[in-house]
Amino acid sequence: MAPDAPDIRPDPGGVQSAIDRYRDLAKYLITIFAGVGALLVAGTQLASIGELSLEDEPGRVAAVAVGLVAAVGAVAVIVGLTLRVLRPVEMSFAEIVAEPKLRAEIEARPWLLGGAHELGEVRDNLATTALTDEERETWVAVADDVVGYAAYLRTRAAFEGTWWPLLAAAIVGVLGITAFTWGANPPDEDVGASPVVEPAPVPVQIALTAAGREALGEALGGSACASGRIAALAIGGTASEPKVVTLPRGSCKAAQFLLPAAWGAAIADE
Amino acid sequence: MGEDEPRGRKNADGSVDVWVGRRRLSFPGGGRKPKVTDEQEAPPDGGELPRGVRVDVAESATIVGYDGWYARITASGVDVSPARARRGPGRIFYRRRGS
Repeated sequence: MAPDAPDIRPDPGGVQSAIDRYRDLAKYLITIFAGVGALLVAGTQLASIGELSLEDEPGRVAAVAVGLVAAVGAVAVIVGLTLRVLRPVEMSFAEIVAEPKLRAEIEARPWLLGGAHELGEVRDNLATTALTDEERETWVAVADDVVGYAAYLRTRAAFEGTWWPLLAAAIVGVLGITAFTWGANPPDEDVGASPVVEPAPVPVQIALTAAGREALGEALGGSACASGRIAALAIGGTASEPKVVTLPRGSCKAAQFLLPAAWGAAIADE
Repeated sequence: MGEDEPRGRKNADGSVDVWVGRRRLSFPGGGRKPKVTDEQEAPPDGGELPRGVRVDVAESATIVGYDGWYARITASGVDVSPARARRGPGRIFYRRRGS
């Protein structure tokens, strides 16, 4: 038998359009997954990540780490699986004959065999000297069809074997992004009843008790400044303990202090 | 010439007989399909293969080609097929939208 001549045919059997169909489907899928991922990421507020503390919120820190790993891992898996479908198929007639499963699938389609009964017969006919050159050439066309159909079958198998893992990876990715988003966005801290805007100063008159005069006399500029009614402004605090600042007058100084009931009382100016 | 060596004979009516082992391939000529018989008679001694008969003895099969046909003789039997491949009508179909 004559030796096999090296022969590379880019689109044997003319099945490229069918193979491209599967590749287009793979591209559509990855585009859809990328779109969903982009939407999820776009809605994620990342500004709070720096405020996370492992001591205070270990659950959220873990969620951020696990979610990030899961999301990035899912993206890598999705890209890898898609490339399995998109990458070019390279195969030879000899490979198909040597691969039992593929060989059986081809032999189950007798119309591919050109009148031969099995692939081994086609292989023999490609090389046998019992046929004329012209007759052998007709078997080359059959081999082309076989290789093309086998490439189609392999692409189909790659796509069908990829679809469910692709979906699983997409679900893992969505869960990862969700966990990441939850972890990265803790609820705002409780700010209690403190107002955002400080209250406006209220003019008051302060009358100090003996204990108040003793405690604040020096700060106010002497005992004379601590006796009688002292003009001041209430600038915060609470009703039972207002924060006040006295108004300077003469040698009396301005002083700011909390005024507990034991030190005196502040009465609003009419 | 050993017993398994292919031998042949061209008959007066234009037909050709080829012996491979104990099998006889009868090519009637005119492009008609050859017949395969288990030969009971001894093949002709020293029968040269007639012109146009091509024989390829390989490990997997012995192939005899003549008159647009070939016979493939293996351990499991003999298959006779046209020498020119017939490409089938099979194609890969897929639905287009709306079809």
